[in-house]
Amino acid sequence: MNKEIQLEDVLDAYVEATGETPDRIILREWIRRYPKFRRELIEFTVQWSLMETLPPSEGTKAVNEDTLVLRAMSIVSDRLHALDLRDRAEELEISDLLEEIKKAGLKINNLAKQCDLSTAIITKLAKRLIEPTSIPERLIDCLCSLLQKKPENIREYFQGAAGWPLSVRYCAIAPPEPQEERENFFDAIRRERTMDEKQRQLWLSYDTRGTNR
Amino acid sequence: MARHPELTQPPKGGIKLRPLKHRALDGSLYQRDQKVEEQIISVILLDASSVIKRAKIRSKGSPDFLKEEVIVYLIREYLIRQDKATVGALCEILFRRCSSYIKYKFLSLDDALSEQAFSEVIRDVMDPILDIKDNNGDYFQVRFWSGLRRKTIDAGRKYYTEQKKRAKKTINDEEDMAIHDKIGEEIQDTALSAEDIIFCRQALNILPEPIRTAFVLRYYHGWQIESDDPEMESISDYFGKTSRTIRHWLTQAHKILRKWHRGEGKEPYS
Repeated sequence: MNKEIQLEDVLDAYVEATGETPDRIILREWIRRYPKFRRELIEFTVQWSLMETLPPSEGTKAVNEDTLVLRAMSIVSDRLHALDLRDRAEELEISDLLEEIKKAGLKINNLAKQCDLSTAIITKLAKRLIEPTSIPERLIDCLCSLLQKKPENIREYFQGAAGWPLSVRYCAIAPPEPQEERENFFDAIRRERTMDEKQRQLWLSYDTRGTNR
Repeated sequence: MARHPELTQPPKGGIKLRPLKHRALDGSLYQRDQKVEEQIISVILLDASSVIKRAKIRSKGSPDFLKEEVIVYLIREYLIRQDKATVGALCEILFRRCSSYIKYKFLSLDDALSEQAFSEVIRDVMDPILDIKDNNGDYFQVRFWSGLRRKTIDAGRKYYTEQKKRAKKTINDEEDMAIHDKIGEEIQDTALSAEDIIFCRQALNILPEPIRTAFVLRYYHGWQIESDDPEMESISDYFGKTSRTIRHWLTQAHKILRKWHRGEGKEPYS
C-alpha cells in the first residue's frame, strides 16, 4: 500500500532497528533512507544519547514503584473517564434526523403526529431547511423526548449545513445547489396545507418572535 | 461505558484475534510475533481472574509468562468487553513492569520535571492503547518496549530542553573563543581512557550546555568532531560550529572535569 511516510512511523521503526542504545552508523543509514527527516532523526538521536549517558541529578528523591504505579493509574482513570464522555457525546450526536427517527422505532408520520406537525414539516426540519433560531423550544422538547436526545444535540443538528431543497428532485437541468436562505418555521407552518387548522393555530401561537417561545 | 457494536462481537469460528490495522513503513500490516499470538490464544478463553493471575507472573522463564504485548492486547479486549475492573488490574500489572524503566530514563531531570515527564510518557503510551475506536495503539501490541522507549525519548526531548532553559550554566562560545584566542592556548582533541570515561560520567551534570552535549556525543557515543563522510553527522554539523569551536568546548569540559576530580581529592586524569 502506498502511503505517505510519517515521521512517527519512521521514528518507531528507527528505535526498533537501533535497539537499546543509539548508534551513529545506524543513524547514518536511516538518514540515507529518509533524508527528509534528517534533522528529526539527528535531534532524536542526540537526546537519546544524552538520556542514556547523563548521571542522576543531585538531590533527587527516590520514588518507589507503588508511587509510580499509583500516578500512572490515576492517569488511566482520567483517560477512561474522558473516553467514556466522548463516547456518550458521540452517541447523542445526530448526523441524520430521519435515521434517528428510525432508531427510535418511529415512522416519520408517527413522529409528525406526536409533534402536532405534518410529515412535510418534519422532512424540512430533517433537511435543515428551516431557520434554526425560529424553531420553538416546545418542538425541541418534543423531539428530545421522542428521540431520547439532549436539547443541545437537536439544536446542533438544526444549525448544521442545509440539505437540498425539497423541490430539486424535479429540476434535473442543472446540478442542484443547497438552499442558502432557510425558511422561518412559522412561515413554513402558514404555508403548509396538509396540517389541520387546530395544529396550525397551536404552532402559530408560539410566533411573534417571543411571547410564548 | 458506551458500547461499540462493531467491536463487541465475540470471536467466531474458533479463536480469531482482533486484527491489527496499522501499516509499517513498507506498507504491510503490522504483524504480532507468533509467540505473542500463542500467548493471547492461551489466555483469551480464561476467566478474568485467571488472566490476571497469569499476567502477574514476572519471571520470563515461566511457561505461563505473558509478554507486555499480550497484556496490551488484553487491556483492549477487556475494554471492548466493558470489564473496567480487569482493565484496571491489567494496567496496574503493565505499570509494575515498566514504570521503573521510565523513571530511570529521567534520573538526570530534577524531581518536578521528572514527574511531569513520567506522566507524559504514561499518557502517550496509554492514550492509543485505551482508545479502542482507533488503531494508533497497534504498535504496542507488536513492539511494546520499543514503543515505550520511543515515547520516553520524546518526553525526554521536551523536558531536558526545559531543564536546559532553566539552567544558568551556559556559555557564550563566541566570547569564550575570543578570550581563548588571546591566550593562544592550543586546542586539542584529548583522548580519554575507558576508566576516565566511566569516572567522568558522574560529573557530567556540572558541565554547562552546549559543551556537555558535545562531550557526551564525542566520548560516550563516538561522534567525530568533523567528518569526511558527508552522510555521517559530526558534532560540528550538529551545532553548526567550526571544528575549532567544538575542540575549544571539549577543552573547557576537560578543565572543568579535572578541577572536579581535584575537588574530589583524586588525581586529575591526563
